[in-house]
Amino acid sequence: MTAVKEKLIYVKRFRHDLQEPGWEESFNVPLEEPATVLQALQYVYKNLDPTIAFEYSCRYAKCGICGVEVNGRPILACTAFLKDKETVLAPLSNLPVIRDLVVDRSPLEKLLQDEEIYFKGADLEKSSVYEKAHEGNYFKPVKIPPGLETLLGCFECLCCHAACSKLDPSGRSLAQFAGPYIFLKLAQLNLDPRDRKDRKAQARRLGIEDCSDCRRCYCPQGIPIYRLAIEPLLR
Amino acid sequence: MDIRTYDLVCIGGGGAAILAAVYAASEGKSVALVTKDYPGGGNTRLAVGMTACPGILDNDSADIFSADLLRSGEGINEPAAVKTFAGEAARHVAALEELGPIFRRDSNGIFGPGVVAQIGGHSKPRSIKNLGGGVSLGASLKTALWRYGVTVYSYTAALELLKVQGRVIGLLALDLRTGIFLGLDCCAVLIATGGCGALYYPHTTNSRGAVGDGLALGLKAGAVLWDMEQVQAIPFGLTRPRSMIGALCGEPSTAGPAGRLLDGSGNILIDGGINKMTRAAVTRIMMSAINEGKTDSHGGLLLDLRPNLSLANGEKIYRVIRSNGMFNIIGIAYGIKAYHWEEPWSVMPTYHYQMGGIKVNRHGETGVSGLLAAGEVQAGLHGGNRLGSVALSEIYTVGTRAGIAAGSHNISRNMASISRVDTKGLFRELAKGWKEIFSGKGQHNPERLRANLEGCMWQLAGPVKKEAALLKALEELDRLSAESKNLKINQEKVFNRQILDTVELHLMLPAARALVLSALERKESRGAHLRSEYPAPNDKEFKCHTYIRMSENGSMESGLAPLES
Repeated sequence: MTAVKEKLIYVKRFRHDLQEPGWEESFNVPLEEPATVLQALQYVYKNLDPTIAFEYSCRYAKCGICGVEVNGRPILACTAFLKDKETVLAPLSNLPVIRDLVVDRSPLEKLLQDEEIYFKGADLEKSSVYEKAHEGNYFKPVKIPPGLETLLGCFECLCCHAACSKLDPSGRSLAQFAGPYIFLKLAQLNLDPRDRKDRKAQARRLGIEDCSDCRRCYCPQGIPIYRLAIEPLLR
Repeated sequence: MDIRTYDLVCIGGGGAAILAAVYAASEGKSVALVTKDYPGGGNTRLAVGMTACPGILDNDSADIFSADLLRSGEGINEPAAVKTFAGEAARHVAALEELGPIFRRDSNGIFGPGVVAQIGGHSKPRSIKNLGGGVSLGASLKTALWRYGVTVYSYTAALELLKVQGRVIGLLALDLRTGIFLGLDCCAVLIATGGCGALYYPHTTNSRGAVGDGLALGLKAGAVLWDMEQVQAIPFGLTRPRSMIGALCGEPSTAGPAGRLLDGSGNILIDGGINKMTRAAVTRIMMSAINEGKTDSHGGLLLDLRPNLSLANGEKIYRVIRSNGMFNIIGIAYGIKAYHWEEPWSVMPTYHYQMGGIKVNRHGETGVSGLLAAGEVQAGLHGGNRLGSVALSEIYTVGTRAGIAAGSHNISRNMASISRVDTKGLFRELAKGWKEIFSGKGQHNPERLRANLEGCMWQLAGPVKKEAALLKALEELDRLSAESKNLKINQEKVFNRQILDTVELHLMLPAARALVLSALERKESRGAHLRSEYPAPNDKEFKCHTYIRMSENGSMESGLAPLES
C-alpha cells in the first residue's frame, strides 16, 4: 500500500454571521501519497471538522467547480497535489465569500445575464426550424474559425478572475471592469460566426482597454487568454 | 418558509432538466429549475461531448439506428421508446445549436466523414462532437435558462414531493446557502436528476451528486421503477490518488487493437482485442481477477497499451484515441510516461450510467398525475446497455419532449378540489419531519453512514453480483436506515455539508434498496447486470423488466413486468 504522510494545512475560514474578517485554522492531515488538496479537504470534513465548507463535483478536472487558492495561487483543488511544506488554502480572490472556501459566483452570472453575454439563436418551436439537407441532417453550414474550440473548453473555474491584478473588489464595479472571465465569454461569442452582436464594443464598455498593458492572464487549463480572447477583442 | 408558485418545477441541473424547463417556458409557462448544485452541472458537464445524430451521413437512417439500439439493449428496451427517440434525435440535436452549443464541422463547414465518428456498437458512423465537450454544453445551456426566463434555484435540495388526492402539486426544498425551507406550489413536477453512479462512490465516473435522489422522490410519490439493476460499469477507472479513484480514463476502445490487460503480478488476462469487447465483458473478467485478490498494490489491474505503439500505425492509433479526450486525466494522475502509453495504467471498473429508472411514456409522463421524468433518471430506452454517444442525444430528445408535454398538456390546476388545498400547511407538515432529522442530536455522522452505504453497495452489490451478498446488502441497508434516524449534525445554517449529506443519505437509502431488490429479481446475466451464479441470459423467464413500487406504508414491492410495446 501507499505510504501515509502527515501534512500541515492552513485553511482560511469565514462566516457571514460572525462579524469577523475571518480566521486561519491549521489541520494536521495524514494522507496517502500522492495527495491532492481535495483529498485533504475531504479528510478534514470527515475526521476533524464537519463544519468546513468547500465545493467539488467531478474530482478529475472536468467540471471546474473546486477552484481555490493554494499558497496564493488559484487552482483546482482536485488536481493540485500537496507538497511537503505547509499549504495555505484560501477562497478565490475577487469574489464574495459565502463561507470558508465557497465563493459566490452570482455577480459574474448576473453580469452575463444583464449584458446578454450569451448566444441567442432562432426561437424554439415545437417542430424543427430547419430545412433538412437530407435524412437526419438539419444543420446549417457553419465555418468554424481556429481558436473557437480552445476558448469553448473553458470550464469556468474562475481562477483567471481570481488571479487578475486589475480587478479591485473594493473599488470599481464589475460593470466598469469585468475581468478576464467575462472577456473570455465575449471572445467566444466574438469568434462564433453565428453571433450577430458587436462584442468588441461590449468589451470596450466593460473596460477591456485596461488589459492592453498587462498580458498576465492566467488559466490553470492553459488557455492562452490574452492571445485568444483579450487581444482579438482589443483589435 | 417561503412559498412560491409556478406552472412547472424541474428538478436537476443537467441537460435534460434545462431543456425541459426551457421548452416549457417557451410555451409560456412559468417554470422553476431546482438544483442542489448549479445549473449546467451534473453529469452533462462531465460528458466527452460525443453525440449520436442518426442520418448525419447519407447511408444512415433512423431505422438503422433503432436496430442498433435494440440489439445493444439485449431485448429489454421498450421498442416504442426506441422508435420515437431514433426518429427524432437528429432534429433535437440540431435544434440544440439555437441555444448556444456548436458541433464540430469540417473545413467546408459541413459534416463530412472526417468529423463523424463510428463508436463501438453503432453500425454506422453517426457521432458528432460539440466544441468544448461537456463543460461547454453546461455553460451554454445555463444561458438558455436566462434567455427563456426560467427561475433558477441553485444550491437548493429537493426533499419531498407534495401529493394531494393522487396528484403531485408541489415540491418541498431546502436552500443550502441559508438553511431555509422552500415550498414550491405547482401544477407539475419534472424529475431530471440524472443517474445513480454515486451510490457506489468513489467507484464512479459520475459527479458527486448523482446519487439517484430523483428515483427516491419518484418512488415515494408512486412512480414505478424499471430495471434498476441495469447500471453500467465502464472498465477503466483510476485507482489513485485517493480523491480520483473511479475517475474515467477509458473504455474498451481506448485499449486499441493490441492493448493488454494484466493482473497485479503481470499475468495476462486479456491479450489484445479489448477494443472489440463490450464494457460488460471486460468488466466481468476484471472483477473476477479483482475478487480473487490478483490486484496491484492499489487494488487495480494493469492496462498495458505499449503493444499498440509497436504496430506499424502505432503513432496514429495513439493520436486518434487521445483526440477523444477520454484519458486526459492520466497525465495528472499517473504522469507523462503513462499519458504517452509508455507505462501501464492501474485501472479498475467504475460505475458510469444507469439504464433503468423511472417508468415513463413517450412524453415523459410517469402515470402519477402531475409527475414527469426525463433523462438518465428514466427507464425504457436503453434496456441492458447504453451505446456510446447516445446519452447526450437522449437528454436533448426526451428533455424537449417532456418539456413540451409539461407545457402543453392540461396541467393547469383548476380542479376546484385541489386549488382550495392549503399547501402552506401541508408543506409545514412535511418540513416538520425534516427539521426533526436535521436537529441532529443523535449519534451517527451522516457522512459516515453515507460512506458505509457506498462501501456496502460496492462490496456487496458491485459489478458482479451474487444472491448471498445481495441479501447481506439488504440487511446492511436496514441497519443504515435505522441509524439514519439518529444523526449527529452540526447546526451551521450556511452551506453545511452535513445537511446535504443528510438529505442525500435519506434519498440514497431507498434508491440503493430498489437497486438491490431488482438485482435479486433478475436471476440471469443480461446487459450490464452480471450475476455470478447465472452467467448467461435466460430469455424464457427474464426477457422483461424488473419493477419496483412503494406502498403507502413505505415498503417496497419488486417483481417482473412484461415489455409494454
